[in-house]
Amino acid sequence: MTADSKRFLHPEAIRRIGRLELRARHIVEGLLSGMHRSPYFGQSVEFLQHRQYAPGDDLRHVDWKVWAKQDRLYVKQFEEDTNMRCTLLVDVSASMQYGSGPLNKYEYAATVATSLAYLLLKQHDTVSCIAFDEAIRARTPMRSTQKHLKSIVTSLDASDPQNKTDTGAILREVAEFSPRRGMVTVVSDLLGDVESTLRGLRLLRQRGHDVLVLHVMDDDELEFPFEGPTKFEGLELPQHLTCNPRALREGYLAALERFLTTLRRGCARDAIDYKLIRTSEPLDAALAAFLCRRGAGARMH
Amino acid sequence: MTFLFQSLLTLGLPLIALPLLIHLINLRRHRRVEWAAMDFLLESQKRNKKWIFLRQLLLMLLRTAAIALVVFMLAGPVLQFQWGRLFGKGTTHHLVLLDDSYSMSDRWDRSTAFGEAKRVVGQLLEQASQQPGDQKLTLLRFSQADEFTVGAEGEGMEQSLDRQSYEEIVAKLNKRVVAESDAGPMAAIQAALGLPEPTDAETRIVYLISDFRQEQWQNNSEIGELLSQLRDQANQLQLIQCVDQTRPNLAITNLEPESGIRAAGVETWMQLTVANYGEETATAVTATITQDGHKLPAVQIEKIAPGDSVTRRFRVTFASAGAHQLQATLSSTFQKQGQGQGQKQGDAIEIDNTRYFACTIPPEFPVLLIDGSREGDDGYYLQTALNPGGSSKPGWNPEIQRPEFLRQHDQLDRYAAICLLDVPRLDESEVEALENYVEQGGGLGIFLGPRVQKPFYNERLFRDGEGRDGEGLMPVPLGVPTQLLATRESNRPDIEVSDHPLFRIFAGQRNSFLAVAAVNFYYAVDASWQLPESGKTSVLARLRNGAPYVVDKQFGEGHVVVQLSKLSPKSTDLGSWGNWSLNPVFPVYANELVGYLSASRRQFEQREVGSELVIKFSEADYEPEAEIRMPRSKGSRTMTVTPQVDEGQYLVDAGRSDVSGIWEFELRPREGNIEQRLLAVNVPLGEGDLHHLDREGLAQQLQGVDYEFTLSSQMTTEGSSFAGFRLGDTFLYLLLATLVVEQWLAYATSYHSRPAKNA
Repeated sequence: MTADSKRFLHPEAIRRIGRLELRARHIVEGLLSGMHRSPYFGQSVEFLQHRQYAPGDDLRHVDWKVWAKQDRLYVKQFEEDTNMRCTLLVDVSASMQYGSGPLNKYEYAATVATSLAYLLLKQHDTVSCIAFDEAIRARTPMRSTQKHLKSIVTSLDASDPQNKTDTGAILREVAEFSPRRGMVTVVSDLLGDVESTLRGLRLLRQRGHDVLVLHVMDDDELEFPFEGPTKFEGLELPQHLTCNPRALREGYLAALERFLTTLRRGCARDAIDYKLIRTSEPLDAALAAFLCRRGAGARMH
Repeated sequence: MTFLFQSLLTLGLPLIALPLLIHLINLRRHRRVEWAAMDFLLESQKRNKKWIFLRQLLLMLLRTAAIALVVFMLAGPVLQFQWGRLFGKGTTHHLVLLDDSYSMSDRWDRSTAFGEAKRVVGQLLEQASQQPGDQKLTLLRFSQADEFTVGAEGEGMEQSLDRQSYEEIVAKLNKRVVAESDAGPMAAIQAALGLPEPTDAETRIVYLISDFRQEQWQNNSEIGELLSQLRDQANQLQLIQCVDQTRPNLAITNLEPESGIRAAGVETWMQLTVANYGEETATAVTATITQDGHKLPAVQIEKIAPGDSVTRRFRVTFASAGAHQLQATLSSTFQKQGQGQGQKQGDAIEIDNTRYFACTIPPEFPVLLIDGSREGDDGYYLQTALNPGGSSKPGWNPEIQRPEFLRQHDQLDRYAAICLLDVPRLDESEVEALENYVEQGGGLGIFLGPRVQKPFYNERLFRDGEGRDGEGLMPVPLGVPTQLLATRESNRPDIEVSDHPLFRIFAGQRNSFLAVAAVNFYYAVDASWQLPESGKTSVLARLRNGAPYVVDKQFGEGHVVVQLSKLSPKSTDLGSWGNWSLNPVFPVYANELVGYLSASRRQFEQREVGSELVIKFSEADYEPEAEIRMPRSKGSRTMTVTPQVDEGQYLVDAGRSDVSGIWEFELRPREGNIEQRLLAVNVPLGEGDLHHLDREGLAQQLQGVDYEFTLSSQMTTEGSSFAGFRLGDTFLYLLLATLVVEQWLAYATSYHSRPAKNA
């Protein structure tokens, strides 16, 4: 990806685009235009077209006959014939409302989820989206039509971010009611009972799902840069704490590190892809993680 | 511990609540943040709660302490010797040695050195009076140190010091002016050493407040030793200097007759000497002269180099017999070299700008002429020269007597001078009487002649190595009468004179009258004689062949002047010895000679401030009553005293003269009008030299003495804290240490802002 294309994926640039669908299109097209290798033309029996070989293309797709005739390298492209089923789990709880940059965690997560949905629908994959906090707040059916994007956006937008999170319970519920295997992408800050969350993720894996965790955190949460007397009021919890943040910083970062380590180790143990994403980072990180995971999943299947 | 600025302490102490106040305000001024990851924050808070509280408490205490230290430091803390009091040592004795010699009248701008000293003492007393515990003060002025007696209840003697006594002492001190004495520190230090040594219950602090002039302090090892002893007795020794630079000062150092006073109506030459103690040349110096209250023409001195003295002569005639006085006063300003007209330099000390002279002028002075010549002609010529008669008033009353008159020893003292004229010899008692007379300041003139017995003069009067102090009256041993042979140098006079007051008549002239003076015979000086190295003998005139003609010798306090020729021009067996007595200027010479001889008797007295003023007068001639009038310039206080009787004489004691000026004594003769006697009292010389030792000079001079040096000018800003240990610096160091710890703790407690991150 070039630096120019990355510039357009920066949260500040994304923020200027009001509608979530447009954001998703902007992100996905921007991302794809910077990639040498076509990300979403997959395996199929129905030939679509030839394209001139570009460095990075899989040599398996090179049409050797054409090469033999014309002494030029062409790759064959086929109509995608997908069987991908992807469930997007987006955290819309109150804790996701925190943000110190252009986008808060909720906005960032929703943008990521919409972008993924756009990408998947463009490949004619079937996508479902679940917005949750301590319970499932909105749910869209598993569809592959382009119109489905709008209903996904509606489900994310209609969510009321006032409640606490219970990610573990939601994951278990999703595992129970998703009989067909597919890919489950969790976009959340995962604040809450980490063991419960890990148990939910493990259950998804046990049910044969590919699981990708996009852990969205704000810079402030990761660095805790506050100074001066500050009163912290809990977004989900009723507690508040008045303190000198510098004095608590060390202890806070230690607790956070323990939390992240637990998450990383738990995910690694269960072969769950885990990606920590800062809301200040360009959104391609999330998409790249997804594409990487999808590529791996396709090879696996 | 006390504080110099109690009010500052009262105002400042509430400020120590400031950190607590800021803390409470900050609690209300916090930023509000809605936070998602509360779990981690609460966990951190739970783990660090106690440490955070402790560190915050410590930080607030340190900040409170820092403010308290600033307030204490500014309030001027002074640590009294509380430890002593705790163990029963309850008295602090402030021993102040105050220089009040007249050099302390050194003035500048609107202040004087003594004014500074008084301010310092006032400051010290004020502070001492505010201290807890017993405070005692002994104030010892340099000028009173001689009269200081331990245990006396005089002014400033071990007075208890409280608020009331402080005000009384300061009021008295403020009225005090410098003494006109040159009292140095030695007497005061010795007096202080005479005080009883401090007991265990006493803390003694010695303050020596002075200008530390070089003349008294430099090269005076005894001061160092005495101060060291004083330091051993005291707990502290503070030297406080009241001047910080040497200012220009002129002083009249002499006002006297040049060669004795003359009788009433006779012109007298006076000399006036002005010294420049400054470091720059003074020009256009004017001294006004007042004679008996009437102004005389002023004496002008064009230039006086730094450290130099210049003498000027002026003429005075006291018209009538009796007591007379003169006063010379320098103008208080003069020009520095290079200054333009109208730009005047102030004189630092006024007291030494005036000098007084007083004398009792007789109608005439008796002069004894012992004429041993065969015809008595020598006496005639000298008598005629000294008192020619008629309307002239030479002031001398020459009386011709035979040599036997010398046996009346008690009569000699009344003569202003004695002349031996061709006296062959004297007996031993006569020689002794003459020696006594000259030794006590009398003047003896010896004119030789053919009757002179050379062996007697050489053995009894010259007495080389045998007389009193190894010498006799005669300055030279006599040889044989010798003829002065004529030479081809016809223009050369027979007599060649030196630059001596005797021959001042010839000064500046072309020797018109000296050229006609002829000498035919003279007594040659023994060939073996050489001019002694003692400097007491000098040849005043020589003959043209180089032989001594007039020789002067100092004998005791008097002088002997010998003319090695006969006075009379009359012919003798050898022929005429010369025509000197016929010369037109001989009467002038004779007057000058007798004046010079009589000058040694000093018919006047010069007293210094501090000397005892005692006069004597005859019990038979005067009533037992005298009135003493102090100098007019000092208020003209009059005292009537009853004199004491001592061996037929009344003694009037006016005590120690403490002021300069003319002291008047009025005596009542049993017959006749009231008689007045005057005594001139002048300030001591040298005190006007204002060069002083600075801090380094004193340190060099007082090596081994543990003392603290302070300039009085610095005490204005620093505030005084003599009577204890100054804690200002200690508090400053404590404050710095507290701030360092506070900063470290604040950093450790993460209260410091982080530097902005680079973009």
